[in-house]
Amino acid sequence: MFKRSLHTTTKTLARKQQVNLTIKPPIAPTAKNLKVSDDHPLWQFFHNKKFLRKYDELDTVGRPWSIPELRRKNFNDLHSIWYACLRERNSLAREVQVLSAEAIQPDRNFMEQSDKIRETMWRIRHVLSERYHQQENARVEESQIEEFQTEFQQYYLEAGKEEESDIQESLKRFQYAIFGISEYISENTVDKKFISGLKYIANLKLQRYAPTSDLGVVTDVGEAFILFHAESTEKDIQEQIETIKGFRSQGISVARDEEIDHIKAYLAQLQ
Amino acid sequence: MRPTSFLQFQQSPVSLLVRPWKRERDGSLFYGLVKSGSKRHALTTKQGNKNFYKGTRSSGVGRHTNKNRYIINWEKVRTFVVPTVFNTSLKPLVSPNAVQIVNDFKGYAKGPQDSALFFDKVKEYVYNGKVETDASKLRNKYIERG
Repeated sequence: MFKRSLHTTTKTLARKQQVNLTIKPPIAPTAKNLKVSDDHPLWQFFHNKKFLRKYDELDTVGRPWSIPELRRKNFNDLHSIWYACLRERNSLAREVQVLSAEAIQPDRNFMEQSDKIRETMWRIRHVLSERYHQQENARVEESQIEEFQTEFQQYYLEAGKEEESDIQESLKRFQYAIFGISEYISENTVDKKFISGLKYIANLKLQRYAPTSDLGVVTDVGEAFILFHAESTEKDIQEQIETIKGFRSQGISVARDEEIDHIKAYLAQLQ
Repeated sequence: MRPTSFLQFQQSPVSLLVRPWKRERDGSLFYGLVKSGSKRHALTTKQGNKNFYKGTRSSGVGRHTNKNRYIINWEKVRTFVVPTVFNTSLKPLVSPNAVQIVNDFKGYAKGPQDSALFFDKVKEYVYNGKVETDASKLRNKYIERG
């Protein structure tokens, strides 16, 4: 005799009568019935959202970027070209994969296109390595850098009043090129080079706008920052000299080993 | 005697016979069993003995736990850095009608790696800003300093 009908599981699993059940036509498993949003990230693997391009839709006439052309571009542009190449090669590889189901060998037209783009990519890397080696070669020649600094100092100090706006612009470019000090505070990283740049530019400004002052050469980083931050006018520099004299009479100065932390705190305040 | 063999006089005849290979503790050869023919090629994944694992440098981004889980180490996962300022007007290929410029590094012995060229460019930037100068402009419609 079976006691199965008395089990509790039988009762719970027993099919209950369903109410309000309507039968709909079946959904066929085709791509047309799938809905994909337009901003789906996998669309990046499709050229213009096409499953497979025809041969005449491929850019067969274009040539890879040449090395002299790439030498003209800045880092962001090179990075953009690299990224565009990467995307295009991804979609080409996908299309080759689609075609490989039917063909024995990978499709030649798509592969040739991919190889052309690969040529652009190695050239980008080549140009970047050239730049790296050039900068490394230049970094070793400290005498050249010092020579340029004295040359610029002469230009800056001997410029007349009518060239005032020119030299202020070129000072900004000079501090960016030699010491890496950017106009935008958020772009800066405070390090030894940055500190030495502050002091150098403070002394330059002092020599141009207040050549007769009795401050001497500024070595304290706090004083240097005040002069660096001051406007390039004789009046403003003169005012800052008075505040520096006030600090000196009170004995306020920044110790050598606290310079970087001090300037970081100043910049954080300014931001 | 061939000239290479006297250079290897310190090695025993047996070690010379198994020269390109090493032995494991159990006496089996460490990858490669062929002793003749051209053999200085990169091994494929299908070659070698049980100790040879080539891989594709694509796995191993985490570790297995003893409870059948896999913990991913995100520092090992490959990432693609998107450009900070993505210039979408630049394409992977150039028009065939575009002028092919040529760089002559005239006066710069090391060419694109010359430090003097670097300093000259820095000076031009400091004094003139990002503008074309006589030295940097295009000559004869296709020659450029570099």
